[in-house]
Amino acid sequence: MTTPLLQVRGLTARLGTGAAQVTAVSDLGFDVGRGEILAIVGESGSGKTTAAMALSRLNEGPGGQLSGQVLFDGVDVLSLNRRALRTLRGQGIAMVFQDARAALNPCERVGDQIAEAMVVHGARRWTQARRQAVALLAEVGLPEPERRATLFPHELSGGQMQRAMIALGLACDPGLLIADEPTTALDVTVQAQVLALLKSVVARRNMALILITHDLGVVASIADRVLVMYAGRIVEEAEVGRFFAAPRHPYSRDMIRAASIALDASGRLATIPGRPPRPQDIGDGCAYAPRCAQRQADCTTLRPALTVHPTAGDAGLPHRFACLHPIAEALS
Amino acid sequence: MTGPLLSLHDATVRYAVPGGWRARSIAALAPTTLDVHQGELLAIVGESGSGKSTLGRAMLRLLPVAGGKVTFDGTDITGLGRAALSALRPRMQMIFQDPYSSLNPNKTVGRALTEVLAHVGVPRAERRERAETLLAQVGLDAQACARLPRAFSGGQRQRIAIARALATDPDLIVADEPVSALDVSVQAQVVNLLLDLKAQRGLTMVFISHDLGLVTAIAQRVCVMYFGRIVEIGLADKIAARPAHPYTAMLNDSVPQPDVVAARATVAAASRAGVADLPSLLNPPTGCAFRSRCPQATGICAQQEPGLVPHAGGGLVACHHPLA
Amino acid sequence: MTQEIVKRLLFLPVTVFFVATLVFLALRALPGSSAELLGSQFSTAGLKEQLIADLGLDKSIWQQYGIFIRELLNFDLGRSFMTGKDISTMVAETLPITIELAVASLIVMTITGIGMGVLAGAFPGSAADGLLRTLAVLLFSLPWFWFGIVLIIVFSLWLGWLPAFGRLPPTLEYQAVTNFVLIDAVILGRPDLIGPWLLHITLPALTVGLTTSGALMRLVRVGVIETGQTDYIRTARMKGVPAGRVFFRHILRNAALGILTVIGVQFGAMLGGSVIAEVVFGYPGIGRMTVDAVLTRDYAAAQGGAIVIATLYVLINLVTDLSYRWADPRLRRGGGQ
Repeated sequence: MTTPLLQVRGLTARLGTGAAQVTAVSDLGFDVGRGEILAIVGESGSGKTTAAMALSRLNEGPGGQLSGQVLFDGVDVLSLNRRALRTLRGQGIAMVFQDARAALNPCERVGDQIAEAMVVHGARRWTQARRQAVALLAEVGLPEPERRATLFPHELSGGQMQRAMIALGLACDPGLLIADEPTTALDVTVQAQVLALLKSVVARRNMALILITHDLGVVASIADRVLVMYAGRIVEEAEVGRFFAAPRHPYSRDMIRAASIALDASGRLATIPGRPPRPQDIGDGCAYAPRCAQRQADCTTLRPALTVHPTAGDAGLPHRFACLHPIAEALS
Repeated sequence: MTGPLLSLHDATVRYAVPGGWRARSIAALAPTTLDVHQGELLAIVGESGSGKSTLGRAMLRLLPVAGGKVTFDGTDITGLGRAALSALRPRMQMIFQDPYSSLNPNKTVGRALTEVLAHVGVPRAERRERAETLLAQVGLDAQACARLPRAFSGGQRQRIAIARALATDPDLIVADEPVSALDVSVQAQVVNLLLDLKAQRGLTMVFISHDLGLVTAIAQRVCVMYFGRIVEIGLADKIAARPAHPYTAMLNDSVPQPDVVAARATVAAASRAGVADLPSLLNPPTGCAFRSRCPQATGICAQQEPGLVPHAGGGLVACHHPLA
Repeated sequence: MTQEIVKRLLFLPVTVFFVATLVFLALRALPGSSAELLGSQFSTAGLKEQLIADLGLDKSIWQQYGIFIRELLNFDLGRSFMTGKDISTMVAETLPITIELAVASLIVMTITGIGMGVLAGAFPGSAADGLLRTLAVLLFSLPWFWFGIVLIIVFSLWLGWLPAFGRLPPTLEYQAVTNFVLIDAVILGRPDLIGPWLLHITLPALTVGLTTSGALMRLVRVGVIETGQTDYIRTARMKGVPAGRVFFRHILRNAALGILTVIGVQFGAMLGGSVIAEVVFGYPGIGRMTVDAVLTRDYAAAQGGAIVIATLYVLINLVTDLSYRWADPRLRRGGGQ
């Protein structure tokens, strides 16, 4: 068994300063290997985006403190000096952000932005880099890539910009690509195409992909494994088939139910009552307890630790969950 | 009451395009004929550029209508002057997509509501109480009156916007993507609220959304739009089960399901299909606007724009080769 | 974009006409006329009436206005009552001087404002940032004339480093050609003009430039900070772009757009504000000419000065606007879908 490309242990992220500092991510631990697609699922406030950015220390600074271990190819990202970190970014770990329109420089041509990634790492010189940028735009399925490379971001459609962002992420052939809600801002007919693109890129380049999303349909589309986050912690991790068929954590089950949109007998959609807690409001006990239909007395006092399910899922992938009273039966 | 509550007949909306010496305009909404029946929940679904928001605004005359006719409860409101339109507005209200910009950030919630109540002639002594009742109906407590919008989450702000829309006791509510900007767990809650309020008050509701799965679950009739045109109208379950228009079928097939087998098949199908974008509004294609992406386009599709006609399944479809 | 330029240029005469009318009315509203001021020295009644007739002040105000507009359309600004010179000549003599001063002030303002702003924006919240922000507030709170006088006292009287008055030493022989010292120095082969000219222009340029740099500094600082927080800067960091390149090539380059407009607007304002500097330092520019003309009710000269300054202001705003449109790709191609 080869060592996974990414091994996260005990990752904790504190955001804000002084009295307003909150713990956005607590004690996160997971692995991702090459050729694998891991989906991190959660609502807003779950800490998933914070975790994603923490992997390359993008949210580190006066307003963000990271601790723990992020082993990429055996090297701890959190302990790298600035120079080594800069080298890692783009070439080792790359990110695709949610709002492609905002994430691209409005005053630079698309092709140049992609080429810059290669040039700053000394991988190529500008002329070569620009040519490679056109090749990347073709790889991500943009028609007329030579022409598109000379355009400014605002001259592209939403779907085209998202593809360009993916091309930018792939420019230096990273081992790990992190895509933060890559399809949320897109039309549904374009979403499926972008997901198909991501899947093919992962296979073709033998990369690892971490897909951040709140949409379970997206998870079911391409993910191999699922990691559910709630209030900054992992509440469940499972192989995707096992996750949808037999989740153990009540939150997972509630989310799956709410995702299959259908009116129940009383003419209403299934919902999860209440809303996720803000980081500063999390007390003792299980963070999901206030909203959990099957909470019991000890749920509000004891915080459940991650336990491993006795039987592993398909392909021998572990199934972990953090619940004192997990669900026993499979979903109907 | 007989007849539809709201009716559009060949209504058209054009936007002027800046730049250039000649004045150019694009048809954001092609001549559209549509009835909204009393008490129904009509959904209008489409992606970006489909014209669904424009249609919603045209219904309430929030936009000038360049051609055709808009009738509300028997009154022709197409060319109605400002005063007359103002008098009708309390009966037709709108809920907007972005809860962060639809409320004045400098007005307390109570103030926002009492001002609306004052506008419809509620006596001063009763306004506060009515505001609190409205807030209770949308699931917020009376203390919200004293607070500013920034103290509330997106979902709560949308509830306040709903309360404000209900303050005038309208007959018709047009909700333009009311939950798209909200967290997923809150979306269903707000939708449920709208469904409850509709039932309690006997409202007529037009629900605009890009989410075909959502609208086919909650609406009675669904109207599918593409490129400023209605391409299909029908009963919600028919649209979901047996769509007549190729675009509707494409929408249906593209929605990622929370089911591994189905979702994987969707992605596999998408990877086989080509990449295509919306045609240009400045240079609209001849004939059917969808033909550049349609797997079954033929010669006639390029020559003649299909009209919206009844089809075998019971609804209306604008296609030369409707699906079974 | 050509359409924009043409549209704006068509508006220019309208604006000038409007300004001219306002100036005309404002001057007529002031009590007293040149004839009276001058004529009071003469006991002979007939001379005063003669003066009034000469100046056309005996005609009705509408007739005076009509003559004024007619002459304006012929680009005839009239003749100065006090000096007897053609106004056009006086403008040609004094306008270059004001432009020199305005440009020098602009350079001071730009270097100081952008320098301070960039430094503060690069290290927000630091001690240096706090110091610079205080300095900026101090600078733009200072009244120009007071600051000018203080500079004179410190650098002229106490230290004796810089001259306090005028544009060139009175002993220097100078037959102007274009009235721009730098150009004339080349044409006339007189490099010795440049040194004294620089010494004389320093204090007025510092007065105007430093006091206006405060506002610019704050805008630059905010622009740098806000640009640094955008998503696309985050993308640049994600790509592994070194911090220096992120700052100079991305943050500053994009923040420059907003700063450009401010500088353009400031330049226009400096033209008018240089009036004060010219008065304090006795700098013989068009501002001082106009002020003197108003004080002596020399209608033609005052009108001419005001109209020229206003026209220049509008032109500069136009150039700023167009350069902004050219620099921002989003505006240049008319925006996307």
